[in-house]
Amino acid sequence: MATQGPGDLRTRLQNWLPKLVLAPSFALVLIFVYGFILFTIYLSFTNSRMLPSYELVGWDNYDKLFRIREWDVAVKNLAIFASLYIVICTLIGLFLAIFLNQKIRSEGVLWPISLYPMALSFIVTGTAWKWFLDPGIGIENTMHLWGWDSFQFGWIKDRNMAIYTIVIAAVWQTSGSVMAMFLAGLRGIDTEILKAAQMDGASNWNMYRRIIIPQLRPAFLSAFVILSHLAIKSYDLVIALTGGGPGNATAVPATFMYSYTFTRNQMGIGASSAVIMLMTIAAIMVPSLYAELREKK
Amino acid sequence: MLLASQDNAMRTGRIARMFIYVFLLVFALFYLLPFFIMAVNSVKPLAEITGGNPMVRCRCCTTWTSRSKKESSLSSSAPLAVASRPC
Repeated sequence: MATQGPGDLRTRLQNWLPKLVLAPSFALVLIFVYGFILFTIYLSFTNSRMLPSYELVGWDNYDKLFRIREWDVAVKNLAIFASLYIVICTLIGLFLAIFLNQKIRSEGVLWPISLYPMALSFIVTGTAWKWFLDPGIGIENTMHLWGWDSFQFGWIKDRNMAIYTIVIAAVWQTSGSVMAMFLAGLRGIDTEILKAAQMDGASNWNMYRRIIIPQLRPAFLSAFVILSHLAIKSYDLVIALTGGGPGNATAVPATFMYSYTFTRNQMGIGASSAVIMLMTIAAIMVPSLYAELREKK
Repeated sequence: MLLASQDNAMRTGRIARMFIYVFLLVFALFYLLPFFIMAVNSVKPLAEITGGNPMVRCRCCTTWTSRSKKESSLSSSAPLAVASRPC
């Protein structure tokens, strides 16, 4: 009895300790992530302007939101940006991974080179991209100085092309980490299958098309999930490169949300646009997570 | 040959190998491009950043000792010298 008492206390403490240690961060996440999500959802049904108000107005904000032309522009820009960004990033990542998997001599150098863009803040590298893409001081000017006078690359100042410069910079930032995902997938493929295929006389092309790429399906799925939510959330990218301009040619839902909530005093409409973004991300994440978790069983 | 079939690298010819290296090199340059601009501009004095070409190396680079020198020269010559010859 005398020995069981402290032992009992100790096991009880051991049971409690993990919960006790996790409790503060759990509480913080509960309040500052989920609490504020609920607060935003609530605000989207109120007539908040500069400051939050608690007067419910029903679906008014959503109704107004979809009548605003700038929201249409932002959604259209996001559609262009996200589709190009996801497709190009996946293709570049896949090809880089396949090529890097061919016993390349300087593989150890190429890894960090393709991964460092993710490690740096885009506010910094975005400024470098802005200078590079600016026709007055960047690549166009350099080509003119080198003597190629007819060279033109003014996309960033062009209303119709500016969104594509954002795609370039975004692809630069994330294609390296997509490559890392695919490379991990490639390294995990069972070599026995490939050896058998080789023995049966399968060509390289057929081996990739019929065996390797189909086996990368989980990598494709996780790349798609990560890229799509990055695309919907992209804010610093646009702010650093174009600031949403020229005009509002590169506005995306994230910049729309910021400007309506914090600079135009339309917090209700801003909150409703944030909720729409959240729902879009959830619509992508929930089915893919569900599919992935079910496969694990 | 046996070693090559141990992992899942393809058996590639010389031309395919060249193509792979060129492809990887091009992308390495693409990834390094903003880093080059950042590195080049990080050692420039402010006048060259605001008034110069960001794509080229600094004409008069900042060094560890130039700060005190510049401060003393700034106080003596009243208007900021134009970007052409700051040092």
